[in-house]
Amino acid sequence: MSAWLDGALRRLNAPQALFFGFDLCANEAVANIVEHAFPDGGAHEIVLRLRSTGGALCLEIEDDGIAFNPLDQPPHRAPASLEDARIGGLGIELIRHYMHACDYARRDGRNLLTLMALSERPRT
Amino acid sequence: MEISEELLKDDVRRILLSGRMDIEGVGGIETRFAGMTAAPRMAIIVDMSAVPFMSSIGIRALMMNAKAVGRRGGRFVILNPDPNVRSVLKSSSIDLLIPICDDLDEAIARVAP
Repeated sequence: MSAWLDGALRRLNAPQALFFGFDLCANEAVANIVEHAFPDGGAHEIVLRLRSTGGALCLEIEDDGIAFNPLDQPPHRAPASLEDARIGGLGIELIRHYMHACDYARRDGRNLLTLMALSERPRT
Repeated sequence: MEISEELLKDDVRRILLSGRMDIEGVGGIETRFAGMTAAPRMAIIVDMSAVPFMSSIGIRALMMNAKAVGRRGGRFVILNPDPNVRSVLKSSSIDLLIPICDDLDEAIARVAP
């Protein structure tokens, strides 16, 4: 997946500053989907598309699992100590940090997560 | 991913990680990582200079091992992470829980008894 994403970003002439963020967010989103959207197991489909639209890059992640909006997960809370620290919600926290906008939709029995980063003013 | 360890003076151990710290990468090293931070080891430096990528699964691995060392009263630090990886550590506030050191001497000073 990361190799495909790297190639797709290059073909769209994406700023180098966005590569790591997209790689990370794709990994986090897909891991979330695999963990939550397929409770029955079996063979499933996750489709990724990268589009360039007027100054922004949009990564669409579509799956055929149960209705699951990763953006609805409880926010990660910064722990007071290492012993209190939990990992829950960290993936979404990272997606929100690295992307400029996120959107979820449920259409025709499929989940569609869209992650967007501005390509003309790279996020640092 | 690859993992190896180096014994330094005063029983300080430097664990060297290399490769992508994603689901697949962590899966390949997590058992050995746990072994390298197990009792009675009390002074652990995790050298991340050769890790170009880390997702939350990597953070989980670092935290689990750091917790295990901390419960025994030991010390656990991260050494010289890649700038992108350092950004992930800061974004998730992990840098407030596990010290990040920029050079080996600083790391040794932080963990040595």
